Amino acid sequence: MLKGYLLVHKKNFVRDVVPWVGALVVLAFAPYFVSASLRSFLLFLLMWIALSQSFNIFTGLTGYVNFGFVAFYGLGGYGMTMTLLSLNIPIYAAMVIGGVISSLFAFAISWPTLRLRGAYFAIAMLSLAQALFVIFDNWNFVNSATGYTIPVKYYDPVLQYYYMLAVAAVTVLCLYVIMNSRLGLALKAIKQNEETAVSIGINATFYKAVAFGISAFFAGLAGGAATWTITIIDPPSAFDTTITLTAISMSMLGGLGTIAGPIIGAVILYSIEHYFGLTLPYLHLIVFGIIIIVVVLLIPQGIMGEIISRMKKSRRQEVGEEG
Amino acid sequence: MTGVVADNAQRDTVLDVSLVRKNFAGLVALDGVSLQLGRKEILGLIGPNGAGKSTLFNIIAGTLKPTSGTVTFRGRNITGLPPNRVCRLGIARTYQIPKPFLDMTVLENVYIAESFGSGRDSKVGTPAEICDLVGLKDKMHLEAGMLNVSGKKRLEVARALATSPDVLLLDEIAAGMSPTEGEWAVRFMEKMSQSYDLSIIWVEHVMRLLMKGVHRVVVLDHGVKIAEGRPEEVVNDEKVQQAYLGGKLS
Ligand SMILES: Nc1ncnc2c1ncn2[C@@H]1O[C@H](COP(=O)(O)OP(=O)(O)O)[C@@H](O)[C@H]1O
Ligand SMILES: [Mg+2]
Repeated sequence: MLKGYLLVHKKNFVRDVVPWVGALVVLAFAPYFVSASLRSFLLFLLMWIALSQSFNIFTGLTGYVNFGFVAFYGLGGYGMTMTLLSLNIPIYAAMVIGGVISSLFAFAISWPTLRLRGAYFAIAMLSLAQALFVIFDNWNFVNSATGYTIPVKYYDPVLQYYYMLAVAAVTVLCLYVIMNSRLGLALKAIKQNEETAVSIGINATFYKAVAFGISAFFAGLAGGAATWTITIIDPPSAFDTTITLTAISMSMLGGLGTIAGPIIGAVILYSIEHYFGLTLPYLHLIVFGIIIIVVVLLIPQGIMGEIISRMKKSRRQEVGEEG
Repeated sequence: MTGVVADNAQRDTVLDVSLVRKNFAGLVALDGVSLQLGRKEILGLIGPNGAGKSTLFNIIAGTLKPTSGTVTFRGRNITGLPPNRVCRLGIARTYQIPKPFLDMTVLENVYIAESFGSGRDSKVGTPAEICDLVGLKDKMHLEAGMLNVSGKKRLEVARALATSPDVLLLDEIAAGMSPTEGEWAVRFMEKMSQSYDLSIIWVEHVMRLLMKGVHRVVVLDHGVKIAEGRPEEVVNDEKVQQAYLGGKLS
């Protein structure tokens, strides 16, 4: 009872569940009603939701900013493509293998990198992602600079849409489950004050590594689904730092550490990107930059973070009036 | 191992700090300090600012690794274990400068400590009961960041108790409290120690308050143990009076 009270103040089924199920139903039926170009827009929007949300699973819940996030996306893409091309297995299985490879990479690097804090962690991750680019660009085992093309026989835009929808939905659901679990409680403590968290028996190294691995898994799944859709993968596209920056921008705008935030951020920024991308390539990056500056200055916790802290403030005033 | 060991501690040593040395760059913070803590004992650890009291706590709690020396807890060598392992074994600490989870409520702070902690069933009570015990009942739903210094010190104590420890390391919890609150703290710790089988090391910069509640005192000065014994013996010790440059003791 205490637990329920503390973690989710007042459950409200209509408010908490209905909008999500509604959105899922609309998105599930969308391919039957919308044009091919709108469906493609929605597919990439779902990809950005999955990416900003998997970014959020680690950075939003721990406070460690991962500037090498694209490594998870790229490894998932390569993992999916290479297993699909060499083993005769279904796409979803290849995607899961891509996610697992990405996740294993995260665990492997967690031991040295997660001891670093703040800017040191950010720089270490940025360098690691760059290093992967250089390695893949020169490594014959992964076809070096040429990369891979997914054979035409796998082409199926509607199925690709549903896979991406599934990846996005499962990522969001997973974030929700984590936030209401013991793992989420530990991460919340670590994010607020790691030294205190450790002093009350929380194994911060372990919980951070788990969040890192889960984040990598879902980013890897999204990378696999994206590669299948784009049909080509090579080092510059797989390890493109703008993917990291876009995921950071989206989750920051919407609100890191919240569930709805990164989704809202993805909808706003991807719509902008889509619009400007049609008129002038890369113009959207300038617009992103301006938006991020404004967000950092005016609402550092992002849109949802701001809403939540205003709600808390008004609740506190109510309590104050009673007492 | 060396020094005067009061009868109390000799019978049943819970924590044994042996010849602990800690060098910081160019500074010897602890120079071979040894002390023993007996079961249900309240040991006062005093000394002027910079004597090395907090450093010793950091070493016992695993936040710092000693340059040399050992810490033994119930016969087990725990030197250099990470803080989370030390807490799980049953040693809880408070911070001299309170470090609560600022954006969480007081109750949430205590709840998290209870959920993790030593992993044993809560011996002191539920998180709400613990808030009540330390006098934070009516502030339970406030964010920790909104507490005043005294409230934050109480929260440090509540969080440490919530981990269900056997050994409690208190770092200047009465500093920032009024004299009346300080007296409350002394009585409170006596009660906790007796009711929940707690052994306590209590650091306080000012000696007067502690003298009422502790069984035994260890005095540190410049990283060296200069005196140990019953409070009334230690107060009259010449070296101790010198360390405190007179006046401050009484
Ligand atoms: N992390 C640290 N790095 C360097 N010097 C430190 C560190 N922590 C403490 N010190 C130094 O060690 C000495 C003892 O400090 P401390 O243990 O905090 O004393 P006390 O708690 O008795 O006031 C002081 O001179 C302090 O400046
Ligand atoms: Mg100190």
